[in-house]
Amino acid sequence: MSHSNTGIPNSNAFINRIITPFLLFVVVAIVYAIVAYESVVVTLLSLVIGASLFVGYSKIPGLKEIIKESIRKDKIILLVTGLVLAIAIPLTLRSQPYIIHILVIAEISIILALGLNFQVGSTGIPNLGYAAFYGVGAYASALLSTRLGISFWISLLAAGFIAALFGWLVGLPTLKTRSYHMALVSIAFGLVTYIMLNNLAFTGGPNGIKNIPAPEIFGWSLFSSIKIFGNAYPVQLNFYYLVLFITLLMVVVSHFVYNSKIGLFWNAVREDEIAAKCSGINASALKLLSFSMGAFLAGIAGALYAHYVGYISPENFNMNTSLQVLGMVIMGGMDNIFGVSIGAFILSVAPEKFRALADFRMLATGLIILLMLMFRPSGIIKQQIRIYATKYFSSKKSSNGDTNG
Amino acid sequence: MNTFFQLLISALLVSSLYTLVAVGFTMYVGVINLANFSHGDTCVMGTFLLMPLFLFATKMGWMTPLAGLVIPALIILVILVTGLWGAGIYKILVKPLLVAPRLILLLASVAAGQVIREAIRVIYPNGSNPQVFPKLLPSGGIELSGLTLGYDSLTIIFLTIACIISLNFIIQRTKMGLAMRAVSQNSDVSQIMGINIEKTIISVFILGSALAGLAGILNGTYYGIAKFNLGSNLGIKGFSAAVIGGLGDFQGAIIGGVLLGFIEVFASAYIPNGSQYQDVFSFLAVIAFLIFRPSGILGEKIFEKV
Amino acid sequence: MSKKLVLVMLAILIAATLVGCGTAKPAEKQTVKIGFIGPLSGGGAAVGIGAKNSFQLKVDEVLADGTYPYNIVVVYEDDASDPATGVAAATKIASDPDVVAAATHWNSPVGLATVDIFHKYGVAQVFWGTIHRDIIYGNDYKEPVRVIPTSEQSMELAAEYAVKFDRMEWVIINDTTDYGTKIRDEFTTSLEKRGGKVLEAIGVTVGQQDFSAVITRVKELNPEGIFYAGVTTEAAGVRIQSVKMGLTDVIFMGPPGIQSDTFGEITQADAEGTFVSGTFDVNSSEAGKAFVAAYNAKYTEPFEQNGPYAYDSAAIILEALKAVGPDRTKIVDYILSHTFKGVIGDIQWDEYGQNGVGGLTMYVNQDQKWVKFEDSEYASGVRTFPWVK
Repeated sequence: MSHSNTGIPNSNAFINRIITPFLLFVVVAIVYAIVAYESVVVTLLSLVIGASLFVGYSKIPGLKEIIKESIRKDKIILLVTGLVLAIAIPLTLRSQPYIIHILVIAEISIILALGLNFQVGSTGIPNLGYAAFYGVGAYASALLSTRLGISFWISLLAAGFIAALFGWLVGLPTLKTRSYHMALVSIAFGLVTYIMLNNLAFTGGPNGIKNIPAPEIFGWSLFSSIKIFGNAYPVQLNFYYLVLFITLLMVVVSHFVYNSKIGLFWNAVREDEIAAKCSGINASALKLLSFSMGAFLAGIAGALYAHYVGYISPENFNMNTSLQVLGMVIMGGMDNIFGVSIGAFILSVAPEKFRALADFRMLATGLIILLMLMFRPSGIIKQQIRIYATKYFSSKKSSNGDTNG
Repeated sequence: MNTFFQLLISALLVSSLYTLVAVGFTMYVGVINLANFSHGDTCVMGTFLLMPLFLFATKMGWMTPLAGLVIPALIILVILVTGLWGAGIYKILVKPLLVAPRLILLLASVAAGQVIREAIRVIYPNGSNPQVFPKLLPSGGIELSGLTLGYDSLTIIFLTIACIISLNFIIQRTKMGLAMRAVSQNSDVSQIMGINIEKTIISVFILGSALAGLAGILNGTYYGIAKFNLGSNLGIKGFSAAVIGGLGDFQGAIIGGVLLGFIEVFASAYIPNGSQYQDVFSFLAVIAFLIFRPSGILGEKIFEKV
Repeated sequence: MSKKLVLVMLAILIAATLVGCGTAKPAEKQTVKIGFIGPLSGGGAAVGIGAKNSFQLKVDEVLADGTYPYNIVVVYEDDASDPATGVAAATKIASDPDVVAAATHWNSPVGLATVDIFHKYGVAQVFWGTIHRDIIYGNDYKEPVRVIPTSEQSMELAAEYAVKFDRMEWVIINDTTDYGTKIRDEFTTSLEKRGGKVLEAIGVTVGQQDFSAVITRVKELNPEGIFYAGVTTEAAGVRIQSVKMGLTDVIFMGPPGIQSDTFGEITQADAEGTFVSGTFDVNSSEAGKAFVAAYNAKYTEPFEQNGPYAYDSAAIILEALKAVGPDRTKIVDYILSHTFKGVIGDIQWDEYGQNGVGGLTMYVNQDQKWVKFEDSEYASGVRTFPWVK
């Protein structure tokens, strides 16, 4: 593979060579510093450096284009390196299981946010009771494995499908009603689910479910720690890799759905439902699909959470959780899978890093959503304009296309 | 029979509060097609504005000689402030986002509600915990053959009816009301006819928020307790009432509010173990309406315009 | 391209490893960490901060004369009354190799969620606030012990008083939280053991405002007593509305959850003569009075209901550490096998690690304040109960 035929001038060749690895270094170093260090000073300093780099990136003329081009060209390098880092870095955190715990929660949040993104981002249906699907998944999986002794892998899938069924049912009223009706239905569903989880006997009532077994891989429980060269690694690491695998799977699936006809039709329904219907799109089926798929992801996330922590109670799945996930989607960038993942990562790590300010957590979430919607409704990373040219035209033409919307 | 009448009064009381909230909701939908999810939290602003004012007035010693004058004055002051707050919400939040997709505006109003709620909790001293709300209305009541009619319940029901009647007068008989009705029908044509749309919308926001502030105060004084998150419940119930009655319809909101109050009180009284499922009943009613009659009791059938 | 790929990855791996090594710091010999987790933000913050201050007070007192063999650093973490936040806090504390023991939690769901984590790391966990039975009895772990008495003991006292006043037919109104349902079941058991009868238990939700339907039902049942199983806000609502609807001749009682002066402030005159089967009366002993004096000299926030228990938790942890040194396993064993002297009395564990004493006290509301029943004007006969007709 050669890149000599791109539009970058020769004088920039050197910058072009090093820009991708440099960029990755900076980003990884900043994120690592923020996540792994206990001190607030380090966190704030890293945030300031990160912010100034971001400003520089958008202010220095030409830099933006070079970086974009470079990222696009070195996509594979970046992806492989990112994967290697995701696998390697937690190994350095052997003495800090707490940090790995934060990362596991961040991974689960990414799955959650991707699911809500299908509904709010891609299809444009407000869902203010999303935590209910998360809860349905968690309870389904926990009940199946504690009451019936079903293996984690089956209950994980079952949780996804049960949540998807609920998603389909809740999605039904969307067919006849307007967006604000749907907001009300979703709030009502969220509250009813919360009340039922609290009041029903088989869900364990307000005490929730205890002693949810850890997943087993060929008879080996994830609650037992791995020893490498005599060093015992924390059990959180096992979960980190398990959830990482599932998260990546979900990201890839979401990516393909987004780029398929379904994703395109969802956008069409969001932009103008009637026009979409007129173009022969089955809007009802697509809305239901969006709701079921979003709920499926929430169910998977719920099952992972339940088996990771080993204890769930209705408190985990209240209105605040719904708004938290909504914040992740809006902050990251609606209908952008990469952006939503970043939003989920930031909003799940930040509260842990600013524990002293816990009283302001919900206020901050509200402010972030509000300010984002008012001043940058597209989120940190905008939805990319769909480009289908690559499939039909020559590779040269596609490399000149601007992929940013 | 006594039980029934006792419940009837409670249901009327709950209905009054829901109606006051629902009216605002439905008027916003009428003029700019916006479901303002921060409306419930505007009520709580009214609640939390009145408490410090009351404490201040007590401290200054105005209460003892002039309670009958000072309390209404305070209530009117708070209602004015919440009304202005409504105008502010429109100017700062709603207007700039009117051009954006409705989804953005809806989510923004949800976030605004969250911000108001949490700001009250953080700013008000010891705001996470329930606060003691002063008794503004006369205590005691009339005993009628075993039936207790509290003066406070009667005052609240009476006040609500008075508000509704005067609002109805404003909407039906004044020029401003005419403008509101015109904008609800068709804002573009109203503009051509020389109606100041901006002014009309702002007056709707002022009226709606003022009623919400009143609802917050009445709610606080009847139950004696104020908590920062009461607004989410009041808001959702008010919105539910508006939907049941038919969104955008003024009379519908009243019917919806009354119906929802009655469903709540009577279902939890007559269905075994119903009290812990109180909210479930009202939400099931709303969902049923949305599935079988999405336009509500009085609303016209929705036709999507192309 | 592949060369670049390898180079980039290698460089990053090296950098990451270097950074990783940097974080592993050698433990100083004389400094030992102990943990404290409680709700420092949110609705339970007042209780959490009172407990935190009390905990720190004991640590300061022990370290004051300089003879204690270790430097103590207390790590405070916030659980915000939320299980998910609590799990993160517990993981943070328990996985820190320098932490030898911790005092934890006010909310039962949080305690249920973290008890496994402390067990996994073998860290002694002293509960100063949660009352749920299963935290101690629902497992066979040695790590958790609980200073605060269970709600069972508290409900026994409540039932004793029901017998004492000869009020045997009760209606329970409970909120549907873990606390409310637990209290409901335990009061029912205790009362029925003594020949009393619960006519009906009616559930309400937290945040509910209108109780007219519930109270109408209570009126139909015509009980001698109403027991509210829940916390202050709804208890006050139930009390106000029941008086408003004419239910004045029944005794009203609640669990420690309503033992807050807010109850009297909200219900005002309606509070008169209501009961709470409450927590330890700290002013009943010399040690307790000394604690109150020392606390009030140092802090302005009240120590709330759980301060004395948190204070004693610190005493237990520090005594065990002094006796056996910073060894997690030895500390766990030491705590479980010894009796400790605290401001709440002599703390003795049963075989599971539950403290049997804690000085439960019955309080009556007199002029909007909770007064120990024995010291009240009702006990001395100066006043008569408003519900006695």
